[in-house]
Amino acid sequence: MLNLEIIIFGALALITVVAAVMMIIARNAVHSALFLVVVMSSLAVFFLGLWAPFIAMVQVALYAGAIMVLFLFVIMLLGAERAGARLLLAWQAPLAIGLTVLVVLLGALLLLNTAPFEVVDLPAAEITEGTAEAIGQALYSVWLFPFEAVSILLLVAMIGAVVMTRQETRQEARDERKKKSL
Amino acid sequence: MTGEQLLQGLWAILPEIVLLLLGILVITIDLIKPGQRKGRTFGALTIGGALVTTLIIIYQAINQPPEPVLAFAGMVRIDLFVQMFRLMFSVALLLAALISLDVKGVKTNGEFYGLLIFSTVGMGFMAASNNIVMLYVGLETTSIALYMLAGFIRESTVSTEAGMKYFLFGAFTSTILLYGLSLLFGFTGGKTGYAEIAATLQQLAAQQETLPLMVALVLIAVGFGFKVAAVPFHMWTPDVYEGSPTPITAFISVASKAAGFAVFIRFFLIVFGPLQEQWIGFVALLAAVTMTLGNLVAMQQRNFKRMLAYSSIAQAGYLLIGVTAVGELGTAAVLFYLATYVLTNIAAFAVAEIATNATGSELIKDMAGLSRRAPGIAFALLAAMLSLAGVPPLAGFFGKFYVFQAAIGYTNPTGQNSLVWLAILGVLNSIVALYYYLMVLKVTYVDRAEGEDVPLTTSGGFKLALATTVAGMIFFGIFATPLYTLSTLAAQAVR
Amino acid sequence: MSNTSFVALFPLFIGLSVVLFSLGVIGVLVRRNAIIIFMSVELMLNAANLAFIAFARSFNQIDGQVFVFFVMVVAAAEVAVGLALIVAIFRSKQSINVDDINQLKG
Repeated sequence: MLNLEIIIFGALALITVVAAVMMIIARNAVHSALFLVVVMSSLAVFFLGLWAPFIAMVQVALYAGAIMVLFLFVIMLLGAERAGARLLLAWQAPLAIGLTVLVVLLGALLLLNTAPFEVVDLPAAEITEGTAEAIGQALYSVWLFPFEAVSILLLVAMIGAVVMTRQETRQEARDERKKKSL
Repeated sequence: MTGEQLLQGLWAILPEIVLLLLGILVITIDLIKPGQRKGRTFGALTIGGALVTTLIIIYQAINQPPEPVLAFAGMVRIDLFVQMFRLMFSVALLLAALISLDVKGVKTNGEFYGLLIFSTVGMGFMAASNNIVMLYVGLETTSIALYMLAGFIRESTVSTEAGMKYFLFGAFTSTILLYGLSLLFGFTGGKTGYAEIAATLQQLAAQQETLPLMVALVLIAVGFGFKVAAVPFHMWTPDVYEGSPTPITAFISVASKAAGFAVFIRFFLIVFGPLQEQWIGFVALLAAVTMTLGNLVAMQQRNFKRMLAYSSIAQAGYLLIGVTAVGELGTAAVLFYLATYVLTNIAAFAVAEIATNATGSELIKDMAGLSRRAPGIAFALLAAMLSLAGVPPLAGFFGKFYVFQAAIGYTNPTGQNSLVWLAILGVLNSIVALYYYLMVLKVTYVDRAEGEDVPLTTSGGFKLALATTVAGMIFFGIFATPLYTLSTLAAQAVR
Repeated sequence: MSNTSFVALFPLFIGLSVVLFSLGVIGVLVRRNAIIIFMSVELMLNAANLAFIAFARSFNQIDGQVFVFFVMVVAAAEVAVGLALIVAIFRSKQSINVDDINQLKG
């Protein structure tokens, strides 16, 4: 049983990491976005395996769906597929890669050194599964306040996005012209 | 949740509710009213609302029960510490709205004031947060509104550039913070409340299992370091300060920094309290590098707003000294410093805006002759620069004094005064900083310029803001005790 | 779904999350296209989400999943705002290469 799990995990993890690397090195921004969709979809499968079906669903619908479509839309709107294709400034690359190797080593060290995670294998009936019902219960009891606070955040984002991209209305343009001619 | 608990909770977050309603009101009126007749409605509304909020906070602070109020299942915690920060935020909002009244491109814009108000609400949530989820939500609400405000003037290429740089840097660092929170969440066995995390960390520290926790701590410090503009997370500061509309620069430099320090103190003193011995050296180093680099680079600046940006980085360094000197003295010093810094820096940026409007240039050398064109404005600049430099009898002097005193008085668990070097470095830095603050004054008071006999007319909003801030600086410079007593009480409430 | 699924592999999830996070950091540091930098930030966010979900499962509780829900909402808001800013800067400068966006210097 364990072997099968390792194979599934290994294959998915490989796909995820390869797609993430491709996202970073792809010359075309559209390709990058599509590789990111692959990463997000395979993460959704992991979420399912970790007993989080609701989050997995949101991951596909919101992240892979809405957010990435927005990215693709903006890339195509701006015609920015090839912008900034040149990879890096000479000194930044070694720095970035060095830093990252350090981080990965540190991560590995952490995992080997300390195992504070004692994962107990529970019978299925006792596992807290993140169903829509369970998440909803939590959101409307303990997490009610952050849930409401997040609505302010969404309002801000909405107003902000409209303000930043709004074209001048015809009336305002006319006022502007009138002012200039005076 | 019973009805009584709900009422108590709503009362606890009343200032945020008032501001939220104000923000929605402003946005709605902006939609309804026709273009030409908007005038200063929104500015006036914002100022009025901020005033009401300030009064509510003062009333709440006076009647603050000695025990902290935990509301909404422990998501928020209201104590005197939070009230003092709220007071700073609402005063900063009030002053920022005052100096926005006559700034081109924003003065009649409802969305501008709306976003300003919403970001203040986010800051209130940040300061009051008692749970890592709440911390993240509050931080993002603040930041997202500020990204927009920094890039608000779309016609100006520097403003949009400032907005985008702020955004990319902010999104990057807040994600690093989130990763740190996720590690902390994992290492503490799935705790999200500050008190529960602290209790678990206490056990882990006793078992000497601190290495993984330090990784989480550093990642979290990156996020906070961005908010307070500490080196090496300061790269955005000069560009954003220079490019943003000046009232927003002023607001970011005081309110956002104060909010950053609110969470910095709460998190490092309470949540990471058990790891104190491990992080003091780290934060002390951060403080030393931040103030030294900020001051050295500020000296070379020719643009006034950019110089103020580096000066504000240096000020973050002094404030970090107070955080390093863990305990009541240090925290009280930071609170006092921040409260006076709100007044001082807003005055400095208001003068920057006035000078830019008058001469069309942001360079320091073009401020020559300001003292003869507008003696009042030049006096405000004098007060602000001297207060930033820490010259008595202005409020900034006592801020620095208390911070250095706290560092000298700090004793580590083995009984040594281990932070004296930091205090000495701070004093040396203050002397270096005096040079560039005085250079600005030399240009405005001594240097001559063409057309300096033309008097400069300034609008009422600026005058009122400058009068208030200068009065505050002088008042708290002469009568520092009441504010310091309040700071001490607030510092006692952190624990 | 077997109740044992993936449990024994728990440290590997955190390992994967660390790798994805590091890749995101590399992306932010080496790319010059503002949109791709932003996508790298999204990758980092996803890495954090994976860690949260894995931790939540190992502690058999739901708070981690709720946190991820909030992170996703915040991410959506951030994307809306970020892309709006990128569109605004493209309109004014005809470029989203961060090397070209350097009018502010000193």
